[in-house]
This record gives sequence, structure tokens and C-alpha cells, in this order.
Amino acid sequence: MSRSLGERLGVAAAAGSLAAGPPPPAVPAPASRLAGQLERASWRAVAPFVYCRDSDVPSPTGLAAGRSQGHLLPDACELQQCLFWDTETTGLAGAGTVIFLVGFGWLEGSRLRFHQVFLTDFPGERAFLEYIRAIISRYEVFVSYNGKAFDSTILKTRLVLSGMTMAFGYQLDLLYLARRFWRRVADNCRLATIERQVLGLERTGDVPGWMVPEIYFDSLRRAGRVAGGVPAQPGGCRHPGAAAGGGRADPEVRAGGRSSGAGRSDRRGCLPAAAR
Amino acid sequence: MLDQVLTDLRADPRFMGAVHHWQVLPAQSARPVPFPRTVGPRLRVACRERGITTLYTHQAHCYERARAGCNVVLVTPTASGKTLAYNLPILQSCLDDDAATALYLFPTKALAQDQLHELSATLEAANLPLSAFTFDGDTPGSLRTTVRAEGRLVITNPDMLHTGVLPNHPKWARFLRTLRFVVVDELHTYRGIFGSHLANVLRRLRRVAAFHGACPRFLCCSATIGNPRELAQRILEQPVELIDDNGAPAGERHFVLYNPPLVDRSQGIRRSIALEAQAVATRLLRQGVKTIVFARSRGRTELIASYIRHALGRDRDDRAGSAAGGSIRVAAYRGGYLPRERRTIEHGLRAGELTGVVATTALELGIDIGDLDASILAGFPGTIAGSWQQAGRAGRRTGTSLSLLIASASPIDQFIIRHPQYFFERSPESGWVDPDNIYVLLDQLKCALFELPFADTELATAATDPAAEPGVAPQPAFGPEVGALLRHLEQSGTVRHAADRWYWADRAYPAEHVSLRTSGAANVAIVEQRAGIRRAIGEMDLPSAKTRLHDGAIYLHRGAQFIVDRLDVVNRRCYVEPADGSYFTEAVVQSELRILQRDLEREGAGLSLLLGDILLRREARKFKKLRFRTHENLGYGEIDLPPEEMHTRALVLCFPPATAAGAWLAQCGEAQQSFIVDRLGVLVRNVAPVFLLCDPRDLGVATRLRDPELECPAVYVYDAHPGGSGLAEGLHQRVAQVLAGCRELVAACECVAGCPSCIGPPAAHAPGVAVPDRGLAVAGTRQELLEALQHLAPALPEERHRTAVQGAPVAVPGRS
Repeated sequence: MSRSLGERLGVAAAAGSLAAGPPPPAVPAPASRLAGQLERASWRAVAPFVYCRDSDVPSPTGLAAGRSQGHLLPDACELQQCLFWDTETTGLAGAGTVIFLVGFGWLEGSRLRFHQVFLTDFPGERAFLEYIRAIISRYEVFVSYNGKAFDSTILKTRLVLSGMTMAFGYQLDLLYLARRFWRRVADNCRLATIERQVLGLERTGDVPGWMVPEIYFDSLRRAGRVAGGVPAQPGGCRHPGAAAGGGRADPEVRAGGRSSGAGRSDRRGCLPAAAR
Repeated sequence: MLDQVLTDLRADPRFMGAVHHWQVLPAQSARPVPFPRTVGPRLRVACRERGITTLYTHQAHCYERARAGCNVVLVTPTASGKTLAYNLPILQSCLDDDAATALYLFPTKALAQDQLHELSATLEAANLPLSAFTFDGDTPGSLRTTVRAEGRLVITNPDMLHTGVLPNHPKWARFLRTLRFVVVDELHTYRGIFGSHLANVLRRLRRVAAFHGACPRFLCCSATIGNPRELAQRILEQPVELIDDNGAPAGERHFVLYNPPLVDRSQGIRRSIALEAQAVATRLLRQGVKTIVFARSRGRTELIASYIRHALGRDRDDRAGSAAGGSIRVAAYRGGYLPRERRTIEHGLRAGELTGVVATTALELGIDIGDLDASILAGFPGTIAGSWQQAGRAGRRTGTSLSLLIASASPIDQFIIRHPQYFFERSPESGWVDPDNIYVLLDQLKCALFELPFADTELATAATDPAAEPGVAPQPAFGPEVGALLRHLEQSGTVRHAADRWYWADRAYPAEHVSLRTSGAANVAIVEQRAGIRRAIGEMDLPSAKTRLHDGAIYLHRGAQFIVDRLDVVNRRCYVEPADGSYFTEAVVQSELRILQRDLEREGAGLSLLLGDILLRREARKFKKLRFRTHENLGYGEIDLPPEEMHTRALVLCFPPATAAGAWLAQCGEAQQSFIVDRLGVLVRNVAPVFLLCDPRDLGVATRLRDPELECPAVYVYDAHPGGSGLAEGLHQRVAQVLAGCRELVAACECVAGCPSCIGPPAAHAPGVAVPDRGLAVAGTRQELLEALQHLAPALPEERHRTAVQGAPVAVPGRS
């Protein structure tokens, strides 16, 4: 009766009743090499386990048009006060779902700037969240696709778990608008569907959403247990702001759609080819 | 009304001929005490508005201990005002501190609804500024946000706490930060695997509450069981104070033990309990006595309800619509009904539209069904505690009530009916849990990890100091070897160790895949197909479905008969069609087992005991068709389903020749050995549940005349839940009492040479008992078995000693 749990586990496994998972990959990639790979793909470290990078495109014409003709934004709100954002997470809900990648977009003069923040391993989460919070606190309006119900909820959960607080400003969730406008026109209101059927944008080399967490976990496993390690193959990212109703005519924004990083060379692909 | 019926029954020689014992439990007067000083004026007004001007002793006691910061377990009978006992300290604390919150756990949603009505009535009585909500699977999404944002008193069930609240605890930060009290009502339901899970869910709750800065106290209530304080401490893993000074009044109760007349004395065959229950229930119902009948199984429930309806229907036909028979309505009520159906029946009983109900233990808990006058127990429910709970469903604070226990021919029923002192004087059974069941623990650890990462330091603390200091948020202790488990999970790829912490690293939401009530997979939905339309009518767990919903099985639902068209194991669907046959079905189950791990082997004076892990493989290849009413066998059908494999805990009674019992057994002839070992298995399975407070279905027995591994005769008694729920360990502690009980049972039987009530039915006919390995003819008499038990049973003196030292609540019954 005083048998150790370890022994009991062994017995249970021998009975075939506890499915043992695949053994962990044996060869962790050296941290320095991974860091180098990320850096070559123009990611820069901003804190332990936290990387970010920038890119930009000319401001899509539709963005300004949407502002002048539409009624989506609160009064007296300028586009410069809008932050476009999206996240990639390890799951769909609950305290165990972690945000590991955030894509931001904002206007800088006549350019639309993309800023991505990447968490390479769990211990960096607090710094990751502080970094994100600093960006968010500069803006008043948050434009997303399903960010109201999903991304901001998960982010709030992460903040509570790290003992941090943050007030969100006005959230403009384009999913609700897309539903109102195109529910009857489009097959469904998933971002990719709206892009393809309404905006005429075709994504290429995209990682299916359900695979994203697997790619991330895989990268964590490859990184092994090296403290400060950097995963070898970060996953894809839904690009912030891509669905904002102004991108139709702008090939640059089209190129900024979701990407896997695999086989892509343009720097607007969300995640680097660092691992390759 | 009832008094007249009781007089009539006493004057009826045929009825009295079957009565073995008639116990009158006198009315008890109230022991009132004034409200404690610290109960504030607003709360007093609320109580006064509801007609409460004094408290009963146990209520005041509970209030004081809870306010003093103690964990409490309250054990008083049904309708003794337990709800007020725990609501008083909670409401006062929430009025004193306008942030304080409390969480109520009830095992079912129906009980949660009852509690909400009760609480709301109290709150409204004095306009108390507290908001009470239920939070469960039925709560609409729009209301959930409100509950999280504003709820002060939240009523839920362990399953919802496990899958809905804890995994989303950051959303509950406001509520959890100020969590003062957690109510665990119906504590006695949390035994076995459910209790083992609950203990872990509460580990998670304490861990998450501590993260948000709270250290709640626990107020538990239990029906009468042998070890309420021990069970509460095992589940809470904290010190608990017992309060059992019941001060509530109770009306006079008549408790009758009734043994159906013998039809065939030599074979010990009695009139069926279904028919007897129908006869008595019909008699009571015709006199306008509100009656509940408890049946042992879902199938029996339907059977008895249909018999009663049939009998009352004859009334109707006879009297052509006269009021007497026509106005009596009777419903069946059991697990597997859809919630809506259940609510309708509960409401019908409260509102008086239904006069009678035939139920399984699903109605045993404190669901409000109004006042009933009589309860009929169609068969001993397996435990003394269970009998009192069922009997307690009838009875009022004033006025007379009747409980009638009808014995079946099964050995334990016959044992109970012949030993009324055993029934009325003995303390009831104890409840067992094993929070460190390996399956439970692994599943629960995943859930805990999903909620908060484990720090390395936390593991070190857990291993060295599992006990919490008073006033300090307790360190969560998922057993001392949580580190080994985490490393196992890391290897399987769902957990990541980075820097100094263990993180959940999987996209799954683990709580969704862990059921608290079974240790197995999802239930099978039962779908009716009629004229091309499909409709879900019920559900059943998979292992049961394999033996009860196989192709060709007859399934009874609310009095209607269905035949199984197809059981789709992969998709967990069972398609049934309406049927109108004359028979029902019973699967014949065969099992194989092997020992995986020997944890403890002890040589006693008589025999040797082995406690360990086994692998059990069960397979049903055919089923019997039994005619309704007569239960005669009409033939067999084939079953084609994959076997069930289970890894569980077992106590093995071994009889090697080196032991006294083994040596005695060895000198018997082969056929006699086979008979003795096989019957001993049947006896242990029948008697052990009484000592372990478990359902007979929670235990399985297999016998081996020549066990290939042990190389001697052996009786395996195993836990029917994967990984075990503490029953094998509990039996190990009480094995001497169980064996003595077996001997007593056989000695006391009235039959001549053996009957199903003593030496038991042939193995092939005993559900849950494996067919003997060599299929030898089972032949022997009661006297032979009794002689054998005198050699086998009085062994293990040191075992008796040990149990006595541990202060076990049970006395060995009738030992000479």
C-alpha cells in the first residue's frame, strides 16, 4: 500500500491502460543557434523569451475611405488612435490557454506598420504581457476580428494570472459587422471566408488554425528544457488588420494575410523562416 | 388516513404472516434554543418572516462553530433543518462583510434548484441585499456573466465546478478573492470514485482560491453514515468538527420488515418483491396514502410502476371511472430520464397530481417532492445507511409515517430480515474514498495544471508538509509524489517544465475529458427510431451499455418497452425501437483476470490475504430472455461486442495448503472445494457491501479453484471502478467481519438444504459474479457450506484486533 506513485504508474502503463505519449524528441537545439535564427529573420529580443519585429506597407486606401464614409468609430476618434490586433493561442479557452504571439497594426503617417510580439517559452510570459500592455495603453480603439469575445478575453485571463490589470478601450470587432453585412452572402463569417468571398483575397501557404498550437508545442519540445531556449519553428500568425474593410485593392495588404512562414520570403509573413 | 391503514394492516392475518418485525420509532420532541447573539437583526427578521423564532440545538451549534472558522460536518436526519444550519453563518458573514461570497455544492442540478428556492425565500423575506444564483449546465450564457460579476451565493454541482468554474477561475477572480464558505451537502454521496474525484476537485478549489487570496471554510452535511467525520476529513484533507446533536422534532415512524411468503420451501423460492411491492403499494394508494416505492434497479422501477398502474387500471375498469381508482396517478422515476421529465414528475408529486412514485436511488437525495406518508423499499438497498435514507423520504415532523422493507430472496435481504436488531441497533456503514487513485489523480492533476502552473517549490512543500496551518492558505497537496506524476505527464507531452515551473502545454481543455462520476468514457445516448424520426430518450454509461444495451436487448423506459436495434460503441449511440414482447433480457458475463502488482501479502492464522492491482477482462457473449412476471428462461441470444478491460484494485483471499483454512480445504473433494470456493465468492459479494457502504455493483467477485498464479484456491474481490475507489483497502480492514457475516448468514437461514438466500444462486445466475474457471457442477448443501465456513471464517484474530483498535464503528453482529 505504501508503493510509490512512480511504481503504480509503471504498473498502470504495463497494463496498457495508461497511454504513454510519444517520447520527447531527443536533440534539443542549442539556444544560441535558435536565437541566431530568429535574429536573422529580423526578430529582436526585448526580454528573455520575448521577441518582436516590425514591417510596414503603404497605408491601404480603403482604411482612410472607411473612416471618411463610415460610422464605425466613436466620434472624434482618429484612425491614428486605432490599434489593429490579433493573437495566436495554445487553445480556445480557460486558464491553461496561453497567448504566444500577438500581431499589432497601426498607422504611422502614410504607412501601416505591423509589430509582432512572440513568446518563445512560458517563463517569459510576464515580460511578454508587460510589453503588450505598454503598446495597448497607447491606444483608445481596438480593431479586431472576433477580438471582443476571444482575444481580449484570453488576454484578460492571462493578465489576471500574472497579477496585472489593464483597461481596454473601445473595441471595434469586425466579426459582428461582417455578420451583419455578409451572413447571407458568404458561406460563413470566418475571417478566411470573408477575405476570399467578399474581399477577393486569397491566402497562400497558410497554416490551418487548428495546427497552430501543435506547431508551437512542437517548437517548445524541440527547444527541450534548455533554460532561455528559443524554439526552432514558431508557428503562423493571422495578420492583424488584414480584414479591415479597406484592403481589397491593395496588393500589399493581400500579401499581409495569414502565413505559415514556411516557404515564404516576404517579410510580411508573420513568423520567420528562422527555424529552417 | 395512515393510522387507519396501519390498524387495518395489523388486523390482516395474511399481511401480518409475512411481517418479521414491526418497530415503532416514537415521536421526538424539539429541542429549541434561542438565536445566538451574533445573529443580526436583519437575519432574525428574515427567519421570523419564515416562521422561525428559535433554532434547534444543532443549528445553533453549527452556526457557532462555522463562525469560529471551523470546518464542520453536520449529521442529522432528513427534514431536521440542515439547510438553515449552514445558511445562518453564511448569510450573517455575507451581511457583515459586503464582499464575502459562498459556494454551494450539490450533487445534482435538481437539488441546486431546490436550494435556490429556499435561499431566495429567506433573502426576500427580509429584503436581504444578497444575490443568489445557480450556476450549472442549464444557466444561459447571458446570465453567466452576471453570476460571475455579482453573485454572492453561487449554487452549483461538483461537475460544473470542475469543468466550468475552476478552469476559468480568472473570470471568477472577484468571487474567489472573497470566498468564505463552501457548502458540501449530501456528503455521503461523495464516496467511491465520485468522492475520490471530489477530494481532488476541492484540492484544486483550495489551490485556486489561495492564488486569489482566499482560504474558505467547508460546511458539510451528510445523512447518517458510520464515519461522517472521517469521510469529511478524507475529502477535505483538513480537520473537521462533527455536529450531530439533532434537536429537530420528528413524527412517529413505523418500520416494518416484511418477508414475502415462501412459494417453494425446499428450494427457498419466495413471492417476487416486484409483485409484493405492487400489492402493498396499491393497497396504500387506494387509501389515499402518498407512497414512494424504491426499487433496486432501473429495470425494476419500470416493472413495478407498470404492475401498479395495471392493478389500478383494473380498478378503473371495474368501477367504470369511479373516483377511487381513476384519480390515482403513479409515475416511475430513475436515472437516465431527461431532466425535463424528472422536473415534471417532481412537480407532480409536490403539487399532489401524483399520488405515488416508483424510483431508484435517483430520488433518494433531498429533492423536494413534498411530504410523503409511506415508503416501500422493494429489496434491501444494500446498506443500512441507504435504507434509512430511502425510508426518510417518507415522514413528517408531526404525524405518523410508515416504512416497509420487503426482502428479496437474496442472501443479504434474508440476513437483514432475520436480524432486526442488526438493522435497528447497529451503526450504519462507513464511506470510503481514495483521492490518490492513480487514474483520478492523473486526470485531476492535468486539470490543476491547466488552472495554474506548479512551481518546483510547491512540490517540495507538498511532499514535506501536506497539513495546513490554521489561518494560512493551505499548500495544495496532490499526494506526496506529484513530481513523479508531472514527469510522467511531461513524457507524454502534455506538460512542460521550464525554468522552475511546470506548465500545461497542450491545446486540450482537460476538464472536458474527465468525468467525476465514472472513471470511464462518455455515456451512450439511447435514441428511439420510430417512423424515421430519431429522438434521444435516455443515456447509460458504456460498460453498463455493453451488458444492457447490446443488440437485441430489451430496454424499459417510463413503462414503455424498447428493443435495441443497434449499439454503436464507437459513436456512443444506441438505436432502439418500440417493442411489445413478453420478455426482458439479461446478459451473461464472463471474466478473466490476472494479477499485475502485489502490494501487500499477509499470512493470517487461517488464510492469506493479498492486496494489489489486477487486470480484468469482461465479456458478454450471450444473453438470456426472461418472461415478465414468471421470470422463466425463454432462450438465449448472441452478443457480439468487444470485451471491457479494466485495471483495478482487489483483495484476494488465498487458501494455500500451508494455512489452516487452506489445509482444511485441501482435504475436501474436488467437487466440494469447487462448491465452497464458488459459494464463498457469492457470499462475500453479498455481505461486503453492508460493511463498506457501497452498492453491490461497486464490487465484483471472481473465484478460482486453482489459481494459476497463486497456485491455490482464491477468491478475488475487486473494485468495479478502474483504479479502485478505496473498497479493496476498506475490505482488507474489515475482512474478518465480512467473513463472520457470511457465516452468520448461512447459519441463520430457514431453508432445509440451501437456497438462493443462503448459499446463493448458481453462479451463472448471479449478476456480477464470474462463472467459475472450470465450470464444475456446483452442488452442495447449506450444512456443508456452514461447516466449511466454520473452518474458513473465524480466522484472522489479529485482524479483528486491528479493526477494534482503529475504532471501527461496526460491531460484529451476532457472534456466538
